[in-house]
Amino acid sequence: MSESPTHDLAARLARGDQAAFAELYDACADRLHGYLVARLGSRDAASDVLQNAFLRAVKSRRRFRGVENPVAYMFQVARNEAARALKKRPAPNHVWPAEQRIVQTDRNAEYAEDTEMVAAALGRLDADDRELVELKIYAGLTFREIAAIVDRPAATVATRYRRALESLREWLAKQFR
Amino acid sequence: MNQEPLDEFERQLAATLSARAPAELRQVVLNDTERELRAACWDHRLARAAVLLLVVGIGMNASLALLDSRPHEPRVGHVADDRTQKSLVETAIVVAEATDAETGRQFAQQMAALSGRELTDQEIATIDAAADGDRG
Repeated sequence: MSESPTHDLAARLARGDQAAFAELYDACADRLHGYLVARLGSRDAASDVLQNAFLRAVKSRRRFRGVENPVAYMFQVARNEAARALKKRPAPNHVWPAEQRIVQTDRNAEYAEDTEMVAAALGRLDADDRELVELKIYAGLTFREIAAIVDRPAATVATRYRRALESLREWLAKQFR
Repeated sequence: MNQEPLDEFERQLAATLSARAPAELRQVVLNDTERELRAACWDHRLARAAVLLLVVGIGMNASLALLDSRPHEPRVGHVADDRTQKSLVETAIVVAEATDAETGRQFAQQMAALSGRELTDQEIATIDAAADGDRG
């Protein structure tokens, strides 16, 4: 029986294959960066943490041997790195840098004419719930992958995520009423 | 719960943040990776060399210890015995010359007994001859 592509990638990463690390980067860097920007509130800090996360993964590459999904594993590493970075400085106020904001379209104007309003709404969430939203929306992970990262059942993650999203929507709706 | 509007809301939230990784970051990360892997490779080689030297050192020490523990290794033992015996006879001659043949002979016999040996007839004759020659 042949190995799955992710198992093969994990094995190559564990062996220290440089091309495998390039593949891993291409597979998850944009999503990781999006998650880290949402988490840290700064593009520069997100880039630094992403760089440190990869360096840490390379140094402890033998751990990839027991990993089923290298991309999900990288999110765990990045999440830990982000926690370290947040300890070193005050928590973000979720006012995203100007270059991160996109021009609002008519489609989303109903809920968020200003991205700062969304950031403020995210800031109101419980820290755990906010992370679920960040991992789902900005990292694009599945509930199963998020469950592995936050070490909770996937069903619990899905329920909490939907509840957090409802809460966000209600709060934003009130602001624009 | 109304699922459809929630999906739409998800898309709207996602649209509030465009955060692709900067293009230049890829090369920075891959350079770090290459440097780290190369350093690890050298660490591995050095560690292997250190282990190899350790094994060789232990092997050499073990070999020397085995050689030393052999009870009268023939070649080395003979050389050492011959030198000791010759030296003993020479010393006995000096003693005999300073005193007399009998004292020299007794001195040599005593020293030989300490190392578990006995003087041969030829050695005794050599001591006697040297003492007699000195007097003659």
